[in-house]
Amino acid sequence: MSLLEVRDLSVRYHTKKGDVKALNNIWFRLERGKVLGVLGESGCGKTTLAYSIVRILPPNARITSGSILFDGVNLLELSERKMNRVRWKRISIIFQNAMSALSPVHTIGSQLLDVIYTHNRKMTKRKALELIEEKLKIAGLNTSILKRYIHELSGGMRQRVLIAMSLLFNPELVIADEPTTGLDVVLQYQILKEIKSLQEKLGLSMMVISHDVSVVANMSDEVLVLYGGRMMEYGDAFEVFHNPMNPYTYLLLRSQPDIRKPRSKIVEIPGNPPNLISPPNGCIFHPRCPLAKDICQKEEPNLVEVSKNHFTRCHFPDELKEEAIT
Amino acid sequence: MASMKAYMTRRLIETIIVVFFAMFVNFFIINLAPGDPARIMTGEFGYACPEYVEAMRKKWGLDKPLHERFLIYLANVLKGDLGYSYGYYSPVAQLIAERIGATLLLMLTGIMLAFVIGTLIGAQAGRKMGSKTDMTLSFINLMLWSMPVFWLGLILILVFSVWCGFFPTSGMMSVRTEYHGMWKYLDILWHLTLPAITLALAELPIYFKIVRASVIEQTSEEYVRTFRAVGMREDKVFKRYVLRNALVPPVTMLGLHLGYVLSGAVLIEVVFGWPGLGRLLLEAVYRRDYPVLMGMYLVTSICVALANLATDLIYMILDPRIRYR
Repeated sequence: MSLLEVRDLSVRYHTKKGDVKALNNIWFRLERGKVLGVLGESGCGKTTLAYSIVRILPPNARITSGSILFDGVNLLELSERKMNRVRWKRISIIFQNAMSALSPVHTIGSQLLDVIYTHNRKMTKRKALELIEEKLKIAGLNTSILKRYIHELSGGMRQRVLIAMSLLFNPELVIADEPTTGLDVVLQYQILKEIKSLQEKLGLSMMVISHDVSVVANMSDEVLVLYGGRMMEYGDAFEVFHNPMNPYTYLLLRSQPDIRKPRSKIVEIPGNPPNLISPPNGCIFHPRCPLAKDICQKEEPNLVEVSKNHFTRCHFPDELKEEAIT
Repeated sequence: MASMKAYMTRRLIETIIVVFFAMFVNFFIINLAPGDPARIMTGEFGYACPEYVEAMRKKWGLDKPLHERFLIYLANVLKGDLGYSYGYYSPVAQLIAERIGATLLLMLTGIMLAFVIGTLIGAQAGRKMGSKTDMTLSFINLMLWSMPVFWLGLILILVFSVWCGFFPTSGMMSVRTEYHGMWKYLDILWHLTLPAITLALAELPIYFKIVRASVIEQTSEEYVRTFRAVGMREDKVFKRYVLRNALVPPVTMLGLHLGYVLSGAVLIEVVFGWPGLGRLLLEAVYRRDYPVLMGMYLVTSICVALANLATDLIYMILDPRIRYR
C-alpha cells in the first residue's frame, strides 16, 4: 500500500467574482521513503494541494471531488477530532516564510512546547524539553533559541526552527512547502542539503513543493508538474527532467540557466498564468504554448502515459523533440 | 535588563519634562482666557466698587506680571502647595485629595469593565465575523456608541432607580443612615453600580470595535494556519494565539483612556451626583477659580504622562518586537 494516494482531487475557492478552480482531478501516489516534487508557478495550486492533504484550507475552499488515502485511510472522511490526531503526528509541514509562520509574541520554546502538549498532554516538561533539544540538534540549532522570539533569529535559523518543529513527532510524511523561499541563494543551498540529508538519514517520505526547478530536481524521486490547477506532467524525476514530454515542463526547465552546461539562451514563458475563474478552452496552456495548434484551443488533451510511469497532458508530446522552442 | 533600566530612567525624565511643559502651557493658556477672577469674586456684573476689586486683586496676587506669577506658582507646586481656591476658600491640594478617591473608584471600575467586556464580546464578534452573533453585537455596539452618555445615565436612573427602585438615584453613600464596616463598602458599591455601568456602556464600543478588527486581522495570519496544521483545536488556537496577538491595540487604547481617568467623567459625575473631581473641575471653570483649574490640569497632566509611560511598558511585555531604545 502506498503511504499517500491522492485520487481525482478537485478544489474550488468560492469568491465574489466566481469559483476559482484551484485543483482539477489531481492524482498521484507516494511510496514510503520516497520524495515527490511538486513543481509549478505561483498560483498553480501547489500550496492548495498541500493544505488539502492536512485539511487546513481556508473557509471559502471546498473539496469538490476525490479522496486522499493516507496509509489506506481517506483523510477527507475523518472527523475533525480524528484528523487532529493525524496532523503533525503523522503528517507535518515545513512552512514557507518562517517569520510569519510562528506567533511573534510567544517565545519559540513556548510554541514548541505547545505543539508537543497538543498531542501529548501528559508528557513532563523535562521530557518535552529533551525531545525539543534532540530535534533542534538534528536541525542544527541549540536550546539557546528557546527563550528567543522568532524575529530575533536570522533567516536560516528561523527555517531551521520550522524544520525541527516538523520533526517533533517523527511523522511519516513531511510536506515541505517552498522551504527555502525568501532565503539567499547560499542559505537556500545549505538548508536544502540539510533537508535532503535528513530525508535520507531518517528515511522520510516527503512532498517537496517549489517553483524552483533545481530544488525539485535535487530532491525528488518523482515529479508532478502543475499548471493552472491541472497535472501537466507526472512521472519519474529523472525521466521527466531529461526527457520532458510537455511544452510547459520543457519551458520551465529552459527558463533556468545551468552553470554546468555551455551558455545557452534562457527561455521565457510568454504571457501570464491563466485565470482560474474562467480558464481558457481547450488545453489550459495553449495561450502561452509556442506549439499550440487549432486542436489545442478546442479540446483539452487527456493525461496520457507516454512511457512507463510517465504521464503528460499534451496533444503533441512527440513534437517537442523535433521543434525547437526558442 | 541593563538597557531596560536605562530606558526606564530616560522615560521617567521625559515624563517629568512633559509634565513641566504642560504646567507651563496650562498656566499661560488659562490666563489668556477671558474673565477676570477678581471681578467674579467681587460680583460678576461689575457693580462692585473699583477699590474693592483692586484690593481683591492685590490680595490674591493677581496684580503681579504673569511670568512672576508663574514662577511663584512653580515654586509652590514643588513644595507641594497647589494654591488656595478663591471659590472654596480652602487649599486646592485638599480639595483634590478629598475627591480623587471617588473619581478613581468610579472611573477605574467603569473603564476596566468597558475594557474587559468590550474585549470579550469584540473578540467573539471578530471570531465569528459576518455571523448573526457578529451582526447583532455590532448593531448593539453602534447603538451604544451613538448614545450620549448623560442621556444613557438618565435613562438608566429612570428605569432602575425611579421605576424599579433597585439602585439609588444619586450620590456615593446613603446620607440618612450611617453604615459601618463591610456595610459601608456594600453601600458604596450599591451607589457605584449605575454610574459605573453607564460609564462602561459608554466606553465599551471603542474596545469592541478595536478588538473585533484586531481579531479579524490576526485570524488570517499565517501562524493560525500553522497551529491548525499542528492539530491544535481551533478554540485553543484562538485563546492562546489569536487573542494574545490581538490584545496589543486595545491595551494601547486602555492606556490612553486611563490618562483621562481623573477628568474624564464630568458628565457622569454631574448626572449621578458623584462627589468627584469632574464636578470640581466644572465648578472651577464657572467661577474662574484659577488655582483649582491649575491644580486639576496638573494632576491630569501627571496622570496622562504616567498612563503613557505605563502603556509603553505594558506594550513591551505584550509585544516583544518593541525594543527598549
